[in-house]
Amino acid sequence: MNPASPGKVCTSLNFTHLSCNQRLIVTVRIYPLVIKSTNGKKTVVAALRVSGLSKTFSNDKKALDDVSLRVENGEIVALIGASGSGKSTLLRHVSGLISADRSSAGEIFVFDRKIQSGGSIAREAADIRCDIGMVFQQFNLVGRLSVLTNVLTGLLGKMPKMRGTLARFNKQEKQLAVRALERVGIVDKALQRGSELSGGQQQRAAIARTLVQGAKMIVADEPIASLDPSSARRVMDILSELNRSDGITVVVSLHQVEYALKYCPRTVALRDGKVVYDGPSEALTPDFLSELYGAESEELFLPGLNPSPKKKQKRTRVTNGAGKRRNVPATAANALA
Amino acid sequence: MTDTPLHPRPDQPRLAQMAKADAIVVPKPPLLEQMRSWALGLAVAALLVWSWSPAEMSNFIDLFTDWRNMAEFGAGFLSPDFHYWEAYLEQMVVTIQIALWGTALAVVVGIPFALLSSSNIAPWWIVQPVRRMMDAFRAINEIVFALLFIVAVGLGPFAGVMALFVHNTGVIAKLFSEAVESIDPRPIEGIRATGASRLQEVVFGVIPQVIPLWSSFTLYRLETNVRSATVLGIVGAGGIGHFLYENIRSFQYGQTAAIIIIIVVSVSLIDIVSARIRAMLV
Repeated sequence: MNPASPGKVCTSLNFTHLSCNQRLIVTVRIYPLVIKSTNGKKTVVAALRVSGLSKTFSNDKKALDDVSLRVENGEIVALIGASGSGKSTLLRHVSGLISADRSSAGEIFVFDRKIQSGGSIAREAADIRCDIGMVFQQFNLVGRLSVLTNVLTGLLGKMPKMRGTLARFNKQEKQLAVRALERVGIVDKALQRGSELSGGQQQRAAIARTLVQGAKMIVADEPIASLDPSSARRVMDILSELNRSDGITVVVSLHQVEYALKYCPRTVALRDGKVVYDGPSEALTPDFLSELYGAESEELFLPGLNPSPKKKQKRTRVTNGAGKRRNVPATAANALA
Repeated sequence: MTDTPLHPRPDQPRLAQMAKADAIVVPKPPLLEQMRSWALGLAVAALLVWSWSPAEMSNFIDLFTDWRNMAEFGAGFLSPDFHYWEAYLEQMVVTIQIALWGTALAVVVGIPFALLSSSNIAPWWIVQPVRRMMDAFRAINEIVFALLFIVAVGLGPFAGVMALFVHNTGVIAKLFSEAVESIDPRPIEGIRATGASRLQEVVFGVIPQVIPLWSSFTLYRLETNVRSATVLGIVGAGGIGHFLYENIRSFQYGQTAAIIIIIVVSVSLIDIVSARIRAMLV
């Protein structure tokens, strides 16, 4: 057990965040909080703490610009933003797959363990990653390995190094993998190769991998962007169910705001590498989004949810013209249900 | 102009078609480009002229003036002498066995070197020295290695195995690392994100992706090594090459022909079989 988290779990009220444009929004939510006790002083352990994170890519483009974020244990948070707004970059920083700018003082803590700071990945990053289940847009399964083996790789960080390297998984471990596959509903595919599955099934296998891993937080980088609508719903249902019944913290980047509205009480919105909104998802009305994103907000809505093609035409013209606010049905999320 | 059909209907007058065809301008490549291809042709011709007399190319006339030698040679080949076929076959099998061991050792030792010389796996300060070392292994022919190993371990097949092993380690490392460098990085990231170690990333993320290509390359090298092993015997490193050389030197053309036929048939058989297996793998 890692030294940071053996605190006792209790529930408490949590008052969230002032939104960036000074609207006072108070929501009441119940979270299981992990209390760390050091020398009698008790502090709440956040699942994820990001502070002052900046990332500049080689083309001098600022992908992240002084991003700070705190996600409590047990939350399910959506991260939205247009393409290129820095969602993926932020999530890949969280699991230490890329490092921030050397010049920045950016730090990332996962369950109070520092995974990177000042542009260098912590030595124990591999150990910290065991707590983070990463789900990718392209699933990142190993196509030629069976689904079962792909799921079993989730155990690599926890089992003895030698046995893991030689792929000597024992019966209990295999049973654990089968149980995870049962949970995501693809146990019948266990012996097929990863590449033989449909996109939605591959993504469910990837989630099963994070379950076997025993991840306390799932970081999902556009998990549904390459899926058809019904597979997308299925994957989001699973993530939301894991959050509710297992208390796994979920940070999920989404391209379309409708999914955020439906599945996540809290949304963090990024634009050009900056956090432009952090607060309840209900507040993200179409009007407010176009205030945040201007014409870019167009791509944040699911296509085909417009009442009629005529209206869609009209709307495009308006945005192209004076950049006026658009009329998107506020009940867009209902279409998903 | 624009509404002229590309293929005029036959009922149109021929002359009119010609006139219209004249109006079409065929684009020519710029002068600089034409000159460049001319210069390239000239350079190749100059190289060939330069190499003519050092390579004693003027002796090609001997092929015709000394045709009797060639005819004697040919006559001997037309009547192959299979009197000692059992010995030849036995040596051919030894040749294949040398190739098998040489390839196997080269693969086992070549895999770590291949991974260390892949720029997506290892840092440059490991990749560059390892690559240069593999270049050196590859640059030296098997025959040269065979001569060196004969000095070290004495005459016989083992020197041949060692010669194939060292040269092929260089070849395998290069072929395998090229396969590794062209893999999809995303599955590796997936493995890394579970908290796996670097070695485990390679075992679970890299190896499954390159296995088909690696097996195909291995079979291809086995084919090549059987061919190479047939000449190792010439310098005394075991296999059928020894018989071949002795028979040519003592003008036993009939027996030489028999040996060559055995070599051609076995090498072809191995090529066919391994090509079949490779087709199944890729």
